[in-house]
Amino acid sequence: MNGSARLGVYGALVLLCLVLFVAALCVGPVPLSPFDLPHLLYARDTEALGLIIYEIRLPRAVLATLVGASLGLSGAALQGLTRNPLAEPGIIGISGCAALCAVIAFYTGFAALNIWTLPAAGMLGALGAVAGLYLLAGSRARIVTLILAGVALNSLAGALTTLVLNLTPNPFAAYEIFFWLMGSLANRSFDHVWMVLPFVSLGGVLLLASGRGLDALSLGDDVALSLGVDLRRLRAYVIVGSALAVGSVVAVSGVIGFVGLVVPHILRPLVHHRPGALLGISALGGAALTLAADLGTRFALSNGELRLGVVTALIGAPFFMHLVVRNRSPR
Amino acid sequence: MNLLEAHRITFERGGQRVLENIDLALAEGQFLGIIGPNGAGKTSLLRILAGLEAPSGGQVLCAGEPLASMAAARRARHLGYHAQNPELHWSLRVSDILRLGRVPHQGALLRHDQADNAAIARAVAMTGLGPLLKRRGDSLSGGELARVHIARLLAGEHRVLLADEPIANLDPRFQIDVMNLLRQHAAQGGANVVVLHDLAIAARFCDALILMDQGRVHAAGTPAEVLTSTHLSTVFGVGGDYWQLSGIPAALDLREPLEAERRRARSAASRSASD
Repeated sequence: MNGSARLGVYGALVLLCLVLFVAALCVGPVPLSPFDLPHLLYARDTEALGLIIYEIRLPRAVLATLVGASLGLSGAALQGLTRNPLAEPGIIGISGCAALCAVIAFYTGFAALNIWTLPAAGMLGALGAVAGLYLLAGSRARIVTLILAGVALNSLAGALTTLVLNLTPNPFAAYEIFFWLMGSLANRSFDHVWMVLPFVSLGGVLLLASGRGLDALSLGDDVALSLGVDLRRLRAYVIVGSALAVGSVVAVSGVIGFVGLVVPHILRPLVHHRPGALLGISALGGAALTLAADLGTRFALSNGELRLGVVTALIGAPFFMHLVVRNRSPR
Repeated sequence: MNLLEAHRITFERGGQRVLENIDLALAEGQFLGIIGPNGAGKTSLLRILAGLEAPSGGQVLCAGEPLASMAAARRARHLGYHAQNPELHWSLRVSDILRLGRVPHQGALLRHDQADNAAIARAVAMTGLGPLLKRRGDSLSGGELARVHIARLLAGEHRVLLADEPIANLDPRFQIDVMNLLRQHAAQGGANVVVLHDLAIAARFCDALILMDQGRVHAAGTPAEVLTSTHLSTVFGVGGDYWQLSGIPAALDLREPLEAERRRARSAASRSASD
């Protein structure tokens, strides 16, 4: 793709994110006009409207952007690494292990100590998943072995999560865990933003730096190696980058599925299927989808909110089925 | 100095000896063919020569420098590799596949400069891929895609090309075309090591052949020395009539005009170099 077409795609996605971000600040139980936003943001009003913006909607919108960008970016990178369009942070066990550790934090009561324990547990789980992957598959593993190790790890994390739910003596605690697992961005503050920002940034840099290697990998491991790509480093960048970015966001948002799967799928044709070029726009696309889905949660039920993970799954699963049916017919 | 040398290469996989004491030397301008039955270790040898796998014993020298201690990017500029069954994941466009051939020449910032475009344009002209540039790789026929992989290899402007059965999927005309392209690459100051199954093609195009059997070099030398009825019946277990049927004698007869042509090309190259 030539430079101007690529800029066009980037421009359109940035614009979409901006529109959705503004909408995320305006939509809610107290509707605000986009034209009042500059005044409210600038004045740092301590009255009710200012509080709504700074304490509730702005951190939520920023988190939606970070969560979506992390999921989209790491989905695109993992698909490039495994050369499998079905790969996403969930498939290699990162989300699952992060969720497991967060659930253990709930169960043991550590989560109630302060707001840092839960995210710390999530990241611990994600890094544990990476260590587990390397232990299971070895550092020179072939990609298929890596995926199998991830699937095994994911099933184990799922089973242990269910076990914890099973053992929870207090039904309210089980309820809390259950809802947390559905994923949500409600009632998050700027503390959460500052908490995930360094990890998302570091992970994002690692993932974005792997573009050229992922491009070369389209021609197979051997040819990529012969072109001078360091496959071990590339794998480490993508997996550790995903663990940092996704592990930290899972810890504050719970499990939000399908974003990492669907976004690269939709955007891939726009960059002529080049895995490297897909990275940046998948981050933007993931941010847009998550902002939109989080807006969707506010329109629903009269008795509270839909959960974000439920909305992304409701959007994502039918879309995925559509992809399956489309790919079934001969090209 | 030889562009590529292998000294007493041995290689074991899963406790089994795959290669044993292989020596070879590749001089500038040389076109070396590796032949032998399936499982003789041809692909393993080529992967070791390309630096994709470390030998269990012995060493490979790339322009006098140990391959094992060479920086990946420098090795990649020097040695180009064509896999036995070239893979293509994602439906990349032909032009994007060719750009990947330039990866070893690009710095950290991935700047695609004039030299890259010129190298790609030359590879496109040589392989006649112009009309296919905007097509998706997965919409091409097997033969067209094989040419794209060859063009990707040529676009890399490597000094030494290591190709594992580069003509396996091609019809006779493109087989000849690809072999001519490789020969041209050798004549212009490069060199090739090519694994081949078509013995008549090997007889016609290669300067030197290595006949491998069970991980060892069974015979090495000029095509006429290696492709004898006796060697072939020992290694491939085929009768003497195969030698006649294979077209090897006719191919060997074709070599004389080829040698003359090569001498002309070489003197033309040295003339243009001195200009």
